[in-house]
Amino acid sequence: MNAALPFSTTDVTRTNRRRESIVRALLGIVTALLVLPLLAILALLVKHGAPALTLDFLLSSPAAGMTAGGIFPAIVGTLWLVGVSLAIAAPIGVLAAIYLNEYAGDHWGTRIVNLAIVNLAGVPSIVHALFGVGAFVLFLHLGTSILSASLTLAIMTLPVIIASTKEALAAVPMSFRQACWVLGASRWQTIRYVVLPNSIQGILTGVILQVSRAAGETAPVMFTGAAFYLPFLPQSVNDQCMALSMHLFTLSTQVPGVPEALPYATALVLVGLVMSVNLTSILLRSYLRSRRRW
Amino acid sequence: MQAPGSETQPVIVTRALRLSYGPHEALHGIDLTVRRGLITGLIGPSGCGKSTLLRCFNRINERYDNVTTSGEVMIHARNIYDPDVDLIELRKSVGMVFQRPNPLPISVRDNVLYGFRLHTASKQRNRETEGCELESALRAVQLWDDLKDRLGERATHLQLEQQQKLCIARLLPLKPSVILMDEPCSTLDPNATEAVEELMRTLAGPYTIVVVTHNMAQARRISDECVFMLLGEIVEHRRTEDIFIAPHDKRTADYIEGRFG
Repeated sequence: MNAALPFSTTDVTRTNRRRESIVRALLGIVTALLVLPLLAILALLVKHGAPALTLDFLLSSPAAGMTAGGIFPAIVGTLWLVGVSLAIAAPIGVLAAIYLNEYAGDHWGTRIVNLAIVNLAGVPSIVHALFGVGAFVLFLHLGTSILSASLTLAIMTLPVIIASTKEALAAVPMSFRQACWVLGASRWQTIRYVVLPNSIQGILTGVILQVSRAAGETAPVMFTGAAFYLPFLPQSVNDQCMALSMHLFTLSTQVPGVPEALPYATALVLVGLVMSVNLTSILLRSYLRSRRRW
Repeated sequence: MQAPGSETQPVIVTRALRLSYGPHEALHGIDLTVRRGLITGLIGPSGCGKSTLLRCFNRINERYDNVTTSGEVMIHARNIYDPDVDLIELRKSVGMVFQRPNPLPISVRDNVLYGFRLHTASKQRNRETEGCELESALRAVQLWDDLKDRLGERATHLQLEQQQKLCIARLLPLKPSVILMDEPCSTLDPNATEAVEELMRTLAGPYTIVVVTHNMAQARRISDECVFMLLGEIVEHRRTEDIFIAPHDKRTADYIEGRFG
């Protein structure tokens, strides 16, 4: 009998092996399924939007009561909003994260700050929008403007920037820091020469990923600075602007008689913009990695 | 191996040194005298407090939360726990080497000069002074011949033995008087261990070395004096040959002969 030979398969082994392959297949399928929604969305957008996506569409203003023309002001507006909000949120977030991770000890004060950050990250964007109206538009008299909308977006993206930056800083090995301590480096010298150079990739990735979030949000900009339709481009942060996300919402739900291709093409541009930002972050990281002397 | 006359020159003197991690007291009143130019070995089973004691000498313990220290640690006749002691000056003077070599992920040159650059005004630094410091530090740890053509190479790519020697070399431009070593050979193979031990012998004299080790044979090979610790206290501190040949305390004898630990 086979069973008498050493190293022959037994029934238990056979069952275990079957289970192993089932679990493996299941996990693999679930993982593969994750790609499907993205592909489906892209396919849908390309199918319906591509016909309308011309250079003229990208470079002209909406016309004929939004039922024709392009999205140029919305693209420009989104760039304004994202740019200004990041210019506010990125430095504040990174500096706060450096303080929290490198200087602040673990006591009730920092625990409250950390709790606040976690909870701020969980606040729904529509609540941020209402806060933005109350705080920036009305209380600070900034009016509905790019500045108000960007401040609102900044408040919304800050907690995530802080969290991802802290994570990147904490990932710098303890042994690097110890090396600095025993050489009498001050905290700032340790941060400047060792911690930051070894975490800048992670910090940038976290910051840039928030660009896509800021670009896509509709609610926070809707009441604070994004306009339904503007015949001119914004000249400063005190002007209102159009925004891709807001424009998409308007085209899809607020205006009758819009040709089907217009909202799809708008969505395609928005997704394309976000993806190219993410691609830039990947390229920037590999550039930084290659440029480091170490 | 003791330099004649050195017996009279204490470099580190602790008095009633107590240290607690939160509510747990790890050192229960340590009185220890470390003498100039010698290699003093700290031995004892895991958890006896030898690494904790070592980390009191450059106050690096304080970087970990919840540590309280009392008593005195006199280094060069100054209590380093005095409130107006400058930690940066202390750490320049009392260098430290860790168990696992921890060069920074930068070039060999930048590693050796890292501390020097931190503490030297940019006016007094130029290619010549830096080159000088670099060469003398690497020569002192016997790495110059191996690495003089590889100064731009990333230090983390070196062999472990070279990395550990580099970690010693980067202390030297700061002109320390004491070098603390926390099991400096425990991640090295026997050949590398021998090389680092040999280096320690050449550094002893100009530098006072305190070394924590788990390895009895190593303590016996390299140290001039040995301190046997148990449960946060010093059991016995004598010349190495005496402690190994004729320990006074039964616990020392039991540990040295491998009856526990």
